[in-house]
Amino acid sequence: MKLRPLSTAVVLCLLAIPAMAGDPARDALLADYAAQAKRDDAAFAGFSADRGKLVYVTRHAEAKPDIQACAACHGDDPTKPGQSAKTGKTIEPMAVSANPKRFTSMEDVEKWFGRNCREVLGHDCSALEKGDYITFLASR
Amino acid sequence: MRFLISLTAACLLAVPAIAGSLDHVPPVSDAVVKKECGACHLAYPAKLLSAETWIKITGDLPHHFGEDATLSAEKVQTIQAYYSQNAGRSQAGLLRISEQSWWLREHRSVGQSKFTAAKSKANCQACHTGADRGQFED
Repeated sequence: MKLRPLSTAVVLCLLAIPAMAGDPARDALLADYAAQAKRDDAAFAGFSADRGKLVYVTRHAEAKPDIQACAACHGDDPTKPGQSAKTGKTIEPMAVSANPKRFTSMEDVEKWFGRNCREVLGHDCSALEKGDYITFLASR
Repeated sequence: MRFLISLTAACLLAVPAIAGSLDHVPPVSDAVVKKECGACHLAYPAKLLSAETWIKITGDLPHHFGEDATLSAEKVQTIQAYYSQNAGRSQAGLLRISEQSWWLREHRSVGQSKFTAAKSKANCQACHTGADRGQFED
């Protein structure tokens, strides 16, 4: 009887592990961006899903009309598939909950940030923007 | 009888070759090409353009029909090698598959509403649901 709160706590912790533990590749990727962000700004204190959401939804009037925000192609709801504004091709969901493969390859992640940050945001994304963006989508 | 069987066999063998010219085109078989070119649009079958045209297209990916499709030099090399080794023939100077006269002929009776729904002529799969397997019959 005395043990019950303890065993309940253990069971709860075990249940929580799959939900909390990210993919090891994604964790390593975020750690890389965190190290870069720290080098860029010594005051860096971790990534923020809220800031990442802003990166995702903010409209950039100076970009081409059909690609003025990440959400323009990836959709307002990142748990749903998006659609390329240019070719009409379906894009798999950005949210990790709906598409667990997201942000697990540094090569792919850098390729897409490289192309899309310049075209949509008009500049190369900083490590802070990249980490915030991934943190937002990993929380969705 | 043997002659008849041979003739039938010859005819059967000939059918895919004739029909194959437009209804079936070998789909891309290289994993890198499939992944990288297929990320934004169908990984177009190599036979649909000439080696010369493929080299032009893959040689300027940062300006890829108005989009930035930058890839590492290593990937570009793989893609260029695959397309030039498996290329077909096409009209010189026309970079888009959808500008080729055979493409225009094949699509002349397709209404505007279908193109609008597909969003882009690059979106083969909107109508040709087997396009990724090389099936382009109507």
